[in-house]
Amino acid sequence: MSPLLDVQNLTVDYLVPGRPVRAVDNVSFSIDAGEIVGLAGESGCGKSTAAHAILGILKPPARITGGRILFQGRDLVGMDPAELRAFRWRHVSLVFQSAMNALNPVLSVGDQFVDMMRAHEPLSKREARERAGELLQLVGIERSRLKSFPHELSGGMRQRVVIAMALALRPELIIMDEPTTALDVVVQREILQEIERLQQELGFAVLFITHDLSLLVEFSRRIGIMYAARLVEMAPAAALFARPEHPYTLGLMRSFPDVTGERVVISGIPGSPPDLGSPPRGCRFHPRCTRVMERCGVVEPRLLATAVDRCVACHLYGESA
Amino acid sequence: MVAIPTSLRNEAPVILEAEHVSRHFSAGGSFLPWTHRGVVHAVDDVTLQLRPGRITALVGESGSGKSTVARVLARLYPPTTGRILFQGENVLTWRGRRARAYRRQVQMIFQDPFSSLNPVKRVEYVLSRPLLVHHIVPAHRVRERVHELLTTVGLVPAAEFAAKYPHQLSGGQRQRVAIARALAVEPAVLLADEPISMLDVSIRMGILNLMLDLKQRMNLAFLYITHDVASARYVADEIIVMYAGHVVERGETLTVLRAPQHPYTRLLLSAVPNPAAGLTRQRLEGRGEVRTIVDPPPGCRFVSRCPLAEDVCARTTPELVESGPDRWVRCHLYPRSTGPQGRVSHD
Repeated sequence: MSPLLDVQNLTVDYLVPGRPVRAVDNVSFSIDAGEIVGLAGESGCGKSTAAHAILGILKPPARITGGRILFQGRDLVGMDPAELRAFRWRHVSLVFQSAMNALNPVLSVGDQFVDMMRAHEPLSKREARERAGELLQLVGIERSRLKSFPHELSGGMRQRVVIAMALALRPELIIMDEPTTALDVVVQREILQEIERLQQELGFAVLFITHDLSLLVEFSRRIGIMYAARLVEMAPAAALFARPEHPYTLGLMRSFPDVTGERVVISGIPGSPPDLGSPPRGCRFHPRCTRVMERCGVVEPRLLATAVDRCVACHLYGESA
Repeated sequence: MVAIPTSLRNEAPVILEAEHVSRHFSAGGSFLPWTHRGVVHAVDDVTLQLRPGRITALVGESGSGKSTVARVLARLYPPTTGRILFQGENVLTWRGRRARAYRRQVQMIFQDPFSSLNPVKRVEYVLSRPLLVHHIVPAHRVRERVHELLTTVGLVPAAEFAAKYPHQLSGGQRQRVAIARALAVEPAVLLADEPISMLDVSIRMGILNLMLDLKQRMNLAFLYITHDVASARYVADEIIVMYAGHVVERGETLTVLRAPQHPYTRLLLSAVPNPAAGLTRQRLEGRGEVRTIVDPPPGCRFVSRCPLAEDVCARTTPELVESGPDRWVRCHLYPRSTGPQGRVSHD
């Protein structure tokens, strides 16, 4: 069976005068129908840019300069804007980090639903409002909240509203870009449980983007790790947690203190992520890597399979190891 | 693996203390009584003690009042009621020279190292100003001291970092400069308000480890304010959990987190991402919205979300009672008479 989404060698450049900055460099991954896939990395690693590229909402100076994005076999790269508009929300929708910014502050929640749905489907206002009410109930918000304005809702409720909107046209894929980062931890867990319940009920696939690897390990089936514009490891969540292969993945996992278990000193990762305008040669992680070898500063490691369902870009593994 | 040492309680005298501190804000309106929109009880009846060589974590969700506590302690604004004691003396009456001395002794570190450093000044300037203003070292020794401070916070080679501008530094390095600036005036107390929440995950541990190192080497008293229970567990000797302006639970970090008593602390812990536990764990029990802190009605402030709430919880506000050795909880499930010592926390 072919995957729902197949990203092949995606490359995105920020075409700024002087030197273009490559924000996503030759990234490939796929998502099956109904699968939850996580993409983790630090700020500036290109994970959000990759998501925006998939939705075709990159803003200049960012541009896709290479690769293909196949959704149900159709290439989204180079699709004309009108086609893309009809495609978004219906097939792929997006939940942003900041629900406050995603919602229009001067329109009631109901009006925003109606606008969005009528832009895509021939519905009367009444029908759209009826559907909107059902959607709100689906995410655990009272129907009467259709009359509310965004500022009258708590952060968690706003995020639920945005999730309800993303569900409105029953898309096959929902991209969630740090959907719970701005929320308190209790609300975060409520929202995640809600997403999980809806996902099981409705069967959509999720691309979940976050810097919080510990959250991703719990929530997703497979996880991709990005570092400095490149995908450095991809593996099933449980395997990644049990046996991280890339030294960066291991470092990331050691950056989160435990809430249970023994209290021991953990170190994080020395140094800082590189400037994408002038990334290090060879493996981009080598200046911070504890297992660095001579080759790492010279030759860029390729992403190679280490098992049927996992791959890693590191000289410690694969053909040359 | 190296275990993190915990400082035992009561080994050092209290240096800074908040005593039944409350801070209320007007919710809006003018001086005209009919425009009055109520009073926000940001912080109500908070008592805490900071000791040299100890890190106390103040944990809570946004709006719980934890930053307000730090700001009151730093005298950025006065408490509505209650006292702030520094080495046993009420600092709220201090003016002029003594007030300045207090500000030197109690330093704050802010969340955002991108806005807390002057972008047009080199690190050398940022660190030498407090040294000169407070006459910490004679002028000819300033450069040397700046380099020492940079070395202390792990920015080596110091000479190289001293010559840089903030924009040439990463977030973690900037936060280290902010810490060095706080240390420049040789304070006794550091109030760190979410010092790692804006940093990249891979460099957060470096800052937490620096805090542990400073606590031990310089015998500093730390107040670590955070929403992240895991990081509080990592660095703190004592933990104070706040909810809607109230301290709901307090005690030795590992004791509290091993066996949380207050239903909110339990909810908070069950919500923390924990890959080892996996998704098989049970669903959250807490439900409902946060109760308002604008003119709060009597009763427990957690009652609207508490899975164990009883009638009494909505009627009377529970007291903070000692529920065990060096442990306090504000919950009707722990009436004061049944505490092991039967003692009220503050009399």
